[in-house]
Amino acid sequence: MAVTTINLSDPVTTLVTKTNTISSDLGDKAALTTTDKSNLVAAINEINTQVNKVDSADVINLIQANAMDSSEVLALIRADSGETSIMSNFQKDSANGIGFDSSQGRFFIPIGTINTSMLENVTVTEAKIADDAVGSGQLKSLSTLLIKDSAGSTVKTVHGAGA
Amino acid sequence: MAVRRPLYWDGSSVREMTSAMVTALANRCVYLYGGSPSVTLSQVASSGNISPNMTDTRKSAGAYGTRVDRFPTEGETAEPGTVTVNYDRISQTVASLSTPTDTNNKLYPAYYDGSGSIQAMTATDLFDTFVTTAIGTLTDGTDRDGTFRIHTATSLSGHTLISSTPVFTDTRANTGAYTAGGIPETLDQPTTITNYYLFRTNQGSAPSITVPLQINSDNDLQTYTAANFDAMLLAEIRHHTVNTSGSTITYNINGSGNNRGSAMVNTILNGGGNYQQRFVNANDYRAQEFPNGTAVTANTYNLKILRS
Repeated sequence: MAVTTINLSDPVTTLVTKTNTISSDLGDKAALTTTDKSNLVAAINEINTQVNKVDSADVINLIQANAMDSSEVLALIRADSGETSIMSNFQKDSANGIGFDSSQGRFFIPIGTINTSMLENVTVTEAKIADDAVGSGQLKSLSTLLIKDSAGSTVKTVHGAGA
Repeated sequence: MAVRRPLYWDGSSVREMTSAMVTALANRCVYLYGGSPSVTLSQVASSGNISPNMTDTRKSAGAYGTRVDRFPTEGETAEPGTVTVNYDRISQTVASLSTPTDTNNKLYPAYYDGSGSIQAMTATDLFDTFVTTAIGTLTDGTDRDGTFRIHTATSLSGHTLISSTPVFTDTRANTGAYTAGGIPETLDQPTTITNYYLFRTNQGSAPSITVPLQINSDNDLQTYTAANFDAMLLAEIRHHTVNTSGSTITYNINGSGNNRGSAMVNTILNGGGNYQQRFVNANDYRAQEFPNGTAVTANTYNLKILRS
């Protein structure tokens, strides 16, 4: 469609017609779905601000702002736009105990993967140890105290860490 | 001989007792015995069972002589005699006690055996650690709680008079009572020199002790209650003092053992006789020999306490 141009020779009736055509092409700013509807520049700048957001929080906010559910997000990730799909860039990290379920598009930690090097020092709390789970074999430099009756029969054995 | 060091709870740790603490427990045994001695002495009128008998001897005047023509000569006058009084007034009672029962082998204090075990003491351990020391103290001859002694007065600080009747009395002839004008004098005119009384040493003040740990019914370590610990010690020392050879306590007179209190001394005048004459009338010439001389010791009797 040609660009509407007003010429100096155009009569007033033509000027009215072309002005209405331009106004129609611009549309009703009240119909904008942006937050800012004061003018087109403000509305476009609002959109530009959203487009330029790139970190995870922004992405999450963007998804939430657009009411996208997980399936839509997954679909977006899996979508092959003709370029390299996003999901094709995901991969497991066995060295660090992280697996990737390509069918579900989910990362996971395989059973038996976590080893002592992955645990922060001095972080296992009492709550993480099950009741009746620690035996004498787990105590460092095991020290054992026997309590005996006067006949020499052991009536109780007490284990402790010796160091 | 297995002397142990009992364990005790110091408020934050289980510790072995010091030698001073063990000694204090032995002294506690002595104190407890003093409140309930297993061997007691009493004063009886006669036939006491402490042997041997004690005798008090004194001189008496000889029988007077009389003539119608002159005084009897010294050689014709009877010599002073000797009066003997037997004293058998101390009786010993030994309690009949059975051996305390260590039913579950956890009656006695716990100790560390030096090789990774805490063990309850045996009855022998307890004896070797506390009781034998306590019995040695009780029988050392000094005033110990619950033991008996002799004294020459009816009161003695820290002691209880068993009877106001003396268990032995030393008498001598009362030479001042014999006069020529009194011939014929009563032959036996004694005077009391010393009375000897039986006393029991009172239970003193309770020694401060650290109560040890024992193995309780759950096989945990627990401090005895003071009452239970005292009861156990008392039962042990009473048992050993009457049943254990080498540690029984008995009393005797002049036998083996250590003296208890004042020696009971029998003194007597050593003179050959004080010849005296009395002229009554021309038909009655009298003579009599009275006791005289210096007091000498005829016998010495000691109440002894014996560990055997």
